[in-house]
Amino acid sequence: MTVKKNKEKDRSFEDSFSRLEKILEELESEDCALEDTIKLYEEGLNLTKICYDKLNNAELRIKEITKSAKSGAEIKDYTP
Amino acid sequence: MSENLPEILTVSELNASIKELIEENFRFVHLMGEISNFKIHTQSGHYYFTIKDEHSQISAVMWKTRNQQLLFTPEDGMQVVVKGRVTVYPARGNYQVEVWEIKPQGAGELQYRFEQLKQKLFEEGLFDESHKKPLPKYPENVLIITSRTGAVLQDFINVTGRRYPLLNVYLYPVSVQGSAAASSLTEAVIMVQNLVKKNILPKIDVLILARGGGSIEDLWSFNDEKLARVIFECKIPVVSAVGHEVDYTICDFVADLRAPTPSAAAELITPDISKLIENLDKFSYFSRSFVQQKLDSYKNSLREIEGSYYFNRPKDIIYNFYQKLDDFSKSINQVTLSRVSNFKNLVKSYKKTLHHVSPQNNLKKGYAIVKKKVEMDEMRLQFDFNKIVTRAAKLKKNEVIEIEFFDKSKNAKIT
Repeated sequence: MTVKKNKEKDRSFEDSFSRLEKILEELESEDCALEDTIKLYEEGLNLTKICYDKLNNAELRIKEITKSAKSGAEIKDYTP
Repeated sequence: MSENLPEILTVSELNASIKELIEENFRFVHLMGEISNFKIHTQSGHYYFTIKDEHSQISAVMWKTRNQQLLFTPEDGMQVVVKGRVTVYPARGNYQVEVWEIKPQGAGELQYRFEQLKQKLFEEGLFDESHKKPLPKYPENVLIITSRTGAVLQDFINVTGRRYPLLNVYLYPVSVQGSAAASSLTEAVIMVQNLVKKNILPKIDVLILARGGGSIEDLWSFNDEKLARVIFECKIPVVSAVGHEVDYTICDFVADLRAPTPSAAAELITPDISKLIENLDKFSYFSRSFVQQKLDSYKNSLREIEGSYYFNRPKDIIYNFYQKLDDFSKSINQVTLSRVSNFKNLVKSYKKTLHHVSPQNNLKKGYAIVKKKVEMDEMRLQFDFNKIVTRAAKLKKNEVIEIEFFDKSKNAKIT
């Protein structure tokens, strides 16, 4: 299983959120050119939307590791 | 006075009978005192030390086969009760206590072992802050090594689910009690890293070792030296969450972060979703206002530039031309007008002069003009035209002439 990073939506929450913090920092800085400002703003808005969606739709996933003879371990959904 | 010859003994004979005497009478002793001058024989591994009180001391030895059973290593100053027997070493003629068991006084045996292991690992630098790995702010995958049953796991799931439902929680079930617990915990930490390496598990951001509260014996598996070393070597940040707030284990010291309880661990490793949403709100607000501010400031600068002297010079030049042009047209008008009026005046004065010299004016004075009819052949084109007669000789007898006076004309006949 490989993680695609090219699409914004596939970005991990940590990445997105850290990027947002960075964008805000850059927007705050004096020497940000107008075009960059607009670009950053657009990127930021897009990321905010993605983050909101992720937070609002998130549900904790729990998996359990069980030992198996074949591969050493298997990962199954946890059921209490 | 007769005397029997005294019995002469060899040293060996004496020591042997003393040995017999002493060892027969002190086959089993409980001795209380303080350990001093403690030494471990490097080759044999036997312990040699002295047990003393305020006034007296006695040598002691603990053979390797016995001291391997100890959970701790004795040290100088330790108050102990030892169990053993008194033996004599005939080769040197001294006696000593052969120790079978050592019980520390005051704190329990486990406590001693705990303190000793703690000290040892501390000195090796396993607890150094410089080795502590930081925990990610927004973990994606966390793995908890704990018992499958019991409140710890449920509490952990509840707290993480409430605070940060984005999380993927992996459970590595182990037995956390009993003699096998330490080795199964150790194996779990190693296994998790292997599973990540083999891509069976995704990248794990935080590893949590958790167990509910209990006595020092219950928590003992978390004071295992091997486990401590495995945690120290672990590439994944480890959080130790064992027992209650007051319970400290070796795991707590060697882990990258100690959580006072398993629920607290769940809180320490996750950001709070409500705070995140708040931050997103703040971001939307601030970024909008920053951009607005920036746009406003650009607009202002633009206005300033527009109003600056240099940018207005071309306009000024044009205005100058306008002004000049206006001036020109004004003066052209003026000049022309004055010319015209000059001419008018001139014309007026000419007219006046002309009037003075005009025949009409002379007639007024009494002069008269004699005219006669022009002959047809003389002026072919004009009929009935009276021509001025300038010489008397031009007039013949009986010729009719017209005499023009100032007021009117009269006809006359030449005689």
